[in-house]
Amino acid sequence: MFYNLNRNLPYICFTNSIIMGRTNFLGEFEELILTMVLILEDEAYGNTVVKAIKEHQGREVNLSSVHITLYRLEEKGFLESYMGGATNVRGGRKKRYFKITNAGKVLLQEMKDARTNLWKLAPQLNFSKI
Amino acid sequence: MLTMTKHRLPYWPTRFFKWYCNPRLQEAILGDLEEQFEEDIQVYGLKKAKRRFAWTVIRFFRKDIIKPTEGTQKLNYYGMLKNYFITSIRFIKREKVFALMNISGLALGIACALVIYKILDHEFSFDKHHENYQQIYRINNEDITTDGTKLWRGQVHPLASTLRSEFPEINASMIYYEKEAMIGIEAENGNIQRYQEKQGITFVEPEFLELFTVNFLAGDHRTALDQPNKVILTASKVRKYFGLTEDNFHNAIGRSIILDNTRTSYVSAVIEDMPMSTDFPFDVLFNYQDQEAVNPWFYDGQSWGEYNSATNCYVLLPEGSDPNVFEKKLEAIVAKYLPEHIIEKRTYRLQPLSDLHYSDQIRKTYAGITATKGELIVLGLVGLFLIVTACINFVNLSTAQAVKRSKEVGVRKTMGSSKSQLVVQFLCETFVVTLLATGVGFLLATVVAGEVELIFNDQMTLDLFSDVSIVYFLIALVIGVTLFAGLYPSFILAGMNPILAIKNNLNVKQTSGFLSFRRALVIMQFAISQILIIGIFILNAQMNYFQNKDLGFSKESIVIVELPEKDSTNLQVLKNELVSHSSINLVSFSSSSPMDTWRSSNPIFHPNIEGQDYMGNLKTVDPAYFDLYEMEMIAGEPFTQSDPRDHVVVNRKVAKILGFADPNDALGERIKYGRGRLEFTIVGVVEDFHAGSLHADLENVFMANVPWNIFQASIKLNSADGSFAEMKKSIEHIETSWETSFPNHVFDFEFYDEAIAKMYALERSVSQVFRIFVIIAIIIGSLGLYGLVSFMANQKTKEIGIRKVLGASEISICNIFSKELITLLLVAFTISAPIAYFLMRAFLDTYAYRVKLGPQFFILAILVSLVIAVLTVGHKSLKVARANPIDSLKDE
Repeated sequence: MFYNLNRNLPYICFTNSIIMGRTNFLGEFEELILTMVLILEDEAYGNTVVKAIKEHQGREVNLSSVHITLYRLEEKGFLESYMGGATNVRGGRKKRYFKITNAGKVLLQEMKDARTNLWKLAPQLNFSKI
Repeated sequence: MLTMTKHRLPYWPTRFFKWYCNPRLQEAILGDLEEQFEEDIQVYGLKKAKRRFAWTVIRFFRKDIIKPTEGTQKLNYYGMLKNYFITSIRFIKREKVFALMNISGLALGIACALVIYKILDHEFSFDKHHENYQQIYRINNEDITTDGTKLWRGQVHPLASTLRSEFPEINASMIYYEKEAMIGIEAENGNIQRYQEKQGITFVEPEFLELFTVNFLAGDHRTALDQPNKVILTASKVRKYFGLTEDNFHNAIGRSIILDNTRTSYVSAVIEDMPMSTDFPFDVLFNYQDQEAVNPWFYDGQSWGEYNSATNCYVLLPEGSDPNVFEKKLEAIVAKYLPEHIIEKRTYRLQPLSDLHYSDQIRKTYAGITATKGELIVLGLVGLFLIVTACINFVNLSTAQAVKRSKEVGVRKTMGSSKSQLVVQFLCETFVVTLLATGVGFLLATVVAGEVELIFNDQMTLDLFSDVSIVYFLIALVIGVTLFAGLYPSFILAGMNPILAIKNNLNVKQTSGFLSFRRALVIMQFAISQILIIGIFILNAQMNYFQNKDLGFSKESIVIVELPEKDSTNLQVLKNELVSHSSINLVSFSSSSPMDTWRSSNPIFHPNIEGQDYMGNLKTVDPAYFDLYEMEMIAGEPFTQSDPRDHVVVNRKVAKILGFADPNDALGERIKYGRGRLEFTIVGVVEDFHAGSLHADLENVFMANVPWNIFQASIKLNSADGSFAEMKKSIEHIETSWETSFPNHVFDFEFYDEAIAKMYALERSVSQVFRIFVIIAIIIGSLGLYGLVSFMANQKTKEIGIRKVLGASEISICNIFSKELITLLLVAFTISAPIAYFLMRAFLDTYAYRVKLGPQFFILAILVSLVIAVLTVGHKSLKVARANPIDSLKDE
């Protein structure tokens, strides 16, 4: 059990696996980006991730934060990248596509399970509609 | 999308991005950026898109994106820096004596620099707190006299009100500073508590509050002084008089204050205390009209002929107006209002408030003596000198260590260190030492600052923590000292040839180059401390001269007391009462003592000096005065109590200017004094005496038994049995007799010789402060010298060993060092002597009476520096001379 103190929101991450012997927990933003890459499948690169976050979460994020997080996740081994898909709009420059690795999938799954387990321990509250 | 026209990316952000971005990541990011940029143009328009682009580029400036600068070197950089600091600290620990000398020398220099900085900061902050600082001017008089033009500050009372009515666009206020007055506070039971205030009593027009910035704590500034009998007190006076505290200052409003037992005023407002750095140190501010009570020459404030140096006129010009234009306009005022005989000679001059404290023409303000820019620059230079000598010291000591560190440098170079890295390393070391020295220096500075405050009687606060500017000064100081002291040794050390360094073959060849440079530094250091030593000797001699110069009268065992009331029968009673005591010989009532700051100065007229402007200083004295002050009569007789009141005794100078070489010829001459009907007959001539401080020339003195201006009693004590107990008894007797005569006043007395000494209080303080700095300079200098000698000793270890083996005596080896030293001293002296001569001559020229600038000061200075040098060097050279030659020779 780890407490991530680096974020503004106190967020608890659960994971058992130690991957690549380095970091084995994710920040809230990292988890978000990782999930987005998962969702976008073969179309995941900087701009699409920004757009997807806006679309699904209504949240404006800066391209720079996304890139930096992507590289960081790649370094941690949760993502892998390859170049390709140059278009005219990009001035003929290639895109760096990202793909989630197995380790990344496992981590996401574990985090989800851990949270579900924790919710089960919470007293069953009834939220009545207002 | 297909029809879209391509936009070029914003040039500068793109270029910036390409500059910092890691090339590995560049293509993909730039592509993403461009894609987003195009979309942004569609959504937000070109302008906003560009802004967003630039912002994103800035946001990309992060550790993960920036390319590493110089490959592997960069990675090592922080590590090396850390290593430099560690080695610095190790080095300091290892070479304790060396580090101690370095740190203490620098710390002393830094402490002095800090204190001098604070003094300068204090001096340059004068009057700056006034909001109208830039627009306030004092009106001075520039008069054409026989001795050239003369600038002075006294003004006539109606000037400010006239200016206000003649020039509605300006504002003006008179200030009359009484300095000393008695304040009475009536207690609830009717008793009056009296305070003799020695400073801060002032009388101002209501406009004063519009000109100058005054912070009100209670009361209304618009009505605070709008009519007579209103008075403003500062917070500290309210505390003193009424025992009030900050939260009930308003209770003081309406309380009564009795000025000199005659005039009652009511407190209308309470203001904050004036800051230390003000030329207007006012504590009790009365309405201008109320000065009637204390100023007998006020005459309703309407006279255009009554001047007083304490009565000044200040004007506030509108923002942006030209003072020269206004000065021109003032000519009309001179022509319209001043008496005819003055119009021709008088010009009104405006002196800006910003110049008031630094003027070298009018050297007095209400707060004391001005500090001219020149004097402040000299002080700053002393500070700079001290820092420079401390740095030179550091250079000397560090290069002296060069031989010891040569191996380290050699190894570092062999391992691949570049020269610039070594320079950085040694600069780091200097930085660490400087930082430590600054810490110690700061502590020392608090001590020195306290000492300086004490010397200046706390008229100056040198609180090192008072504001943040000291932090900037410290930072600048640390950087400046690090570079100045560190650069040269760093380059010397870093530039060593590694092979020679490791072989320990660093001999004369490689190091003699910087020996001559170091000699130059030591000469400079010597010269600076010699200038300071000569300076302090001359300053001291001048101080002694002030004390011991024959003034033309006796000043010993004379007690001066004020006479607050002038009733003649009362005075006679007091006199009889005083002389009834066995130890009191003589009592004299007069306006002033022979040498006094008070003077009544008026033009004199005689057929022999037709058309020339001579001023006469008229003293009211009684016949006993001449005996009491032991003045030497050179012609005629002093008047007696029964003689007519127009009999006058003059000094020799008056007889001389009237053209009588033999003073006896002057007897019987009639001489007119002032522009009134006063006319005197000369009945006696005394030898010249000093009527003013020795800053000034002799004056034309007139002493007559006129019935006005009787202010003080001089009481001669019998010095035959001058024990302390006896003295105390006499003073007690004076006190009781005085208090019987003047029951409503506060007794105070002063010994006349002390009063005279006070005239030179500033010089005394300055010389004491100067002495502190000189001593510190000498200590720093000796440290530097020690450094030089140790360096020489290190260099000559083998030479000395060989000499000893061949039979040289200890003394002859010591001589090697002393020969060098004396040469350096003499060279330094040839530089310092002329500089000191010119500086000190300029300084002595400010005194009319001064010591002769003889060779003895210079001889003394070189002797002192010689003794200090020999003491410093003796220890080290003896140690070297006594060392066993085996140790030095088997070093290979």
